[in-house]
Amino acid sequence: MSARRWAALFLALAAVLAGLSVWLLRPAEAGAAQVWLDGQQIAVLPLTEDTELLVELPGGGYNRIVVSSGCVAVAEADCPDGICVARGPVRGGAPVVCLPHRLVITFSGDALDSVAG
Amino acid sequence: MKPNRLTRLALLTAVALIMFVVEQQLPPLAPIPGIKLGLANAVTLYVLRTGRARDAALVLAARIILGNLVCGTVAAMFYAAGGGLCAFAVMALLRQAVPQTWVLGVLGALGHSLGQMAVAVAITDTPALLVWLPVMLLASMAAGAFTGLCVTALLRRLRQ
Repeated sequence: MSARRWAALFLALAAVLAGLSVWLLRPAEAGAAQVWLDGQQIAVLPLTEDTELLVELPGGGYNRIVVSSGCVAVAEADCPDGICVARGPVRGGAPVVCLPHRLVITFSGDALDSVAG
Repeated sequence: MKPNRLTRLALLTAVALIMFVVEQQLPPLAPIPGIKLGLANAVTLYVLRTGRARDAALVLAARIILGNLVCGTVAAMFYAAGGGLCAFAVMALLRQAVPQTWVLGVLGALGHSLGQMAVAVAITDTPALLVWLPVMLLASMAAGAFTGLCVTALLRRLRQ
C-alpha cells in the first residue's frame, strides 16, 4: 500500500477516534464515586459531602482522595507517573485512574438524583 | 552469543533504557492514563529494520524488565510488557509488508495501546477503563508516527 493510502487511512481512523473520544469523555455530573483497588470496591463516596480518603496499598504506596464541593480529586499520591493527580477535580464522567497503583474511581448516579433522594 | 552481537545488543538496550528512564522523569503530557511518547520504541523499530526480529525481542524484554526495576512498579511492568509484546508482534509481522517506517511505527503504537489497555482492564478488573481507549489510540498514532520518522531520519544518516 502506498504512503498516501496509509496516510488517508490513518486520518480517517483519527477522525473516528477523535469523535468517539469527545463523546465518551464528555463531562458529566455524578452523585457518587466508587473507589476500586485491584477490582475490589473499597469505598463509596457521596459527592454531596466533603470527605477525605487515604488509600494505602498493601505493598506500599498511597493515594489521598479528596471530595470537595461536588468534585472528587486525587490530591496527592506517590505513584511514578502522577497522572491521577494531574487529572484534577472532576464531577463525573470518565473514571479517574491511577494505573501504577491499580486504583480506579468510577462514577454513578445523577447529581440531581442524589439531591432529590 | 558472539561478542560482537552481545555488545551491539547491550549498547542498544542501554540506549533504550536511557530513553525510557528520561521519558518517565518528564511531567505527564496529558492527564490521560497510558499516554506517552514511547521514545524507547524507536530502538525496537530500529533493530527490526536493521537486524533480526529475535534481537529486537531481546532488547525489548531487557528494557522492560530493567527499566521498571529502576523506576516503576510491578503493575507498570505488566502494562509495559503487554503493550511492548503487542507492538513487537505487529511490527515484526508487518515489517516486510510495510516498507514505510513511519507507518510501521503507527501500527506498532496502535498495537501497544491495545495490549496495554487489555492488561490494564485485566489487572484492575475494570472494563470502564475502555472509555479512555479511543483517545489513547489517537495519541499513540501521533507518537508512533513521530518515533517512526525519527528512525527513518536515523537510518538515512547512518547510510551516508
